[in-house]
Amino acid sequence: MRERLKKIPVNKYIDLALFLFLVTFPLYQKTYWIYVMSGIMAYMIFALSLDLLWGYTGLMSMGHSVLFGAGGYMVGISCAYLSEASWIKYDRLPWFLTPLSSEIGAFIMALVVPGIIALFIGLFMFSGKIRGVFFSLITLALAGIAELFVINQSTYTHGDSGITITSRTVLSNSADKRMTDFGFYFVVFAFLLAAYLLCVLLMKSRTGKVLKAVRENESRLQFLGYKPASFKLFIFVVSGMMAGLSGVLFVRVQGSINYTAIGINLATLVLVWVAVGGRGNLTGAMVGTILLQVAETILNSTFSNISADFAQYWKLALGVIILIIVFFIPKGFVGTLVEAEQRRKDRNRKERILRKGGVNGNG
Amino acid sequence: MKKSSKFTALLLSLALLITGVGACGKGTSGDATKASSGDTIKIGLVFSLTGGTAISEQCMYNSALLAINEINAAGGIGGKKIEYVVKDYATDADTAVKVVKDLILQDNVKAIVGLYTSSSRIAVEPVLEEYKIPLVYPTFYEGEKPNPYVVYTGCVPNQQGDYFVPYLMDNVSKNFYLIGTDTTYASIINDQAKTLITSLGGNVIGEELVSSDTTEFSDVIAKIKDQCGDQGCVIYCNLNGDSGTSFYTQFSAAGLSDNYTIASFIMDESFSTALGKAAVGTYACVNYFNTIDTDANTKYLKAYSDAYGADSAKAVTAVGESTYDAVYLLSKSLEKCGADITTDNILKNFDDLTFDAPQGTIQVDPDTHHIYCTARVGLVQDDGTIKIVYQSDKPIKPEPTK
Repeated sequence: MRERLKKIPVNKYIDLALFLFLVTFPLYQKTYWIYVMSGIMAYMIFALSLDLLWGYTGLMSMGHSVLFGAGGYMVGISCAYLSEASWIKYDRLPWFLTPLSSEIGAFIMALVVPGIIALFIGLFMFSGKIRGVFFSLITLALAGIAELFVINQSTYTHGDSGITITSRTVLSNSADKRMTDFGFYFVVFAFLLAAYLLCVLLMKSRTGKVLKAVRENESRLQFLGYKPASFKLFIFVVSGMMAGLSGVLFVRVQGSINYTAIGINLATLVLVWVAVGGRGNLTGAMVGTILLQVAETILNSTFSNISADFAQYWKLALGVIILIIVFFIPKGFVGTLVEAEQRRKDRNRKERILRKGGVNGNG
Repeated sequence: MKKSSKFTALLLSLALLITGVGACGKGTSGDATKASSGDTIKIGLVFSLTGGTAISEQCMYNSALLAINEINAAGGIGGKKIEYVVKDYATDADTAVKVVKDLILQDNVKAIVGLYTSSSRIAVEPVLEEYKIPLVYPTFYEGEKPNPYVVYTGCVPNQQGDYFVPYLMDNVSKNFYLIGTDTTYASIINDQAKTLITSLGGNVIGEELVSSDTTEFSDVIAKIKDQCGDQGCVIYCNLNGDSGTSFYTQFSAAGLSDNYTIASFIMDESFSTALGKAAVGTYACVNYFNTIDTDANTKYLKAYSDAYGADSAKAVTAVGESTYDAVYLLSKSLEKCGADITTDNILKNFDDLTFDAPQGTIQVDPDTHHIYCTARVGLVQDDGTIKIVYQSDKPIKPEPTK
């Protein structure tokens, strides 16, 4: 038992603590914080999806919000259509959006459409052998384009004004089916847990190992006979669908969606969360998101409580905190912990080998 | 040794999270004791103190504080002082929803004053409906089906464009070139203008909608010059933020101002003072310019300049003034409620409420909860002030759904 516990890496313990914390959180908190934490959990799924791509596979997507927003907008457009929002001037949805005329169809579309977008971007980029910084720049541009696209397609997206829906329902847009903040918290929590377990399983599998190999040395992997392009495409689509799911949940928590959910702003934010938490171990993505989002919420309200003239400096304070973190622990909170543990393991191993007086001991 | 470090990590992370949350809890209870002090009425103020529209909203925020301080200095609302909580929504609709929920659930405010962008207003409307808290929205905007929980103290297109376009046709030119940022606001304004221009026998020479981050207009200016030729035209411009300032500067640098005149809803005192020469000779249209000669306005500007300095008083704008009105109207409505402050009463008491505002007497329309106000056309002078060249003879009924 002791041996088995020893083998579990340190970040899994943090995961356990985090989930225990999340599951008990609403029991002693007020409605406002339950609502805030529901939104943060939706963002955590988003951060996990980016971690699959950036942390494990080494593809730094600077436009991941496109997939988040695509999921959110599917639900938004569907709800607006079904409840005949007052700004709607069209009679029926275009043929490729017809599944949105049913509630379940909208949910499925919210997963499929981001997947398809990821598939097309991926096909184009990976078959063209675009990698590294060029991948990042192209995805960054995509986020900018998506933001403008959504504003321009105002017939369906209500332009820069955005769409409002009934919040806290799982599938519908009717106020009768609205859940309490407490109830909906656990819906989001269940999705987060499922997404987390999926990520763990995926990364434990052989596919996960190949994906890490893509990050470490793509050329060598190719030389060994693998096709990195298809693995990258696979993880991009999975990550895209997950981002779409988080978009849906976020819109359901928030009750509205607008162009900021698809643009460069959110795309950069999620990078910061993952960077601060530490990438490549799932825990970091979740911890980074929760820390920075809670910090943002508390700073904003604390600063305005101290004095009204002081209120505008909360962003400055947040920025300084992020800078300090990135400067002093560039691997992020969890990344640094995991690294420290690894270093100690290596040292112990070395000592053991030296004690045996030879290198042929099998550790 | 190894295992214990793991447990330390586990314990540490748990402790960290719990203390973190303890901190949030503390903030909450502190607010609760403050709210229960009984002899104050708590309202929420939501403005972008950071973010893209912070420049425009600074004047709104200042005016709101000014009005609150004036009301409190004069004895408050029926003896109760106004207590306010300020929140920054950083020009982001999602943050707006969050801070409005914070105000309602944590701070227990009776009413909220603020918001500037349409997207943030639309995003918080469901929250207002869910928790039944009134919002006084002080910005002039494109018009919508009035929300029962919102009171609008800015003007709507029928109180601007319906008077602006005819004035420009009579006094400047019958040819119009429309340009705007691709937003719901500009497209509604432009559609309204197009209908009006055609029905009055003018020509729409062209229309251009640009994305909100456009700051390079040489091709647009060349196009305008090409299509209008020597006949000249009015450039009906609804570019917002940086886009607007870039257009004015580049247009003035192109040296076309003899033949072409820019007319814009977004031109106000903050723009005209910031732009300097580039704004001179262009037209503006809104319900308030700070050159209005009323006693209330003199008093307002004097108080503003005492509180924030003479230079910032020169840049007092229509949204600032309507925020000032918003706070005063809200205080009047709260006063009428007496001891029985409920959302229904607050909203009902807004019906037909009048206020002797800096812009002249305004009245709340009971059907739409918008205000009756006077339409004014202004011309930017050499010193950056805006001279009123036309005003409608009586306050105009608001028609937000027109």
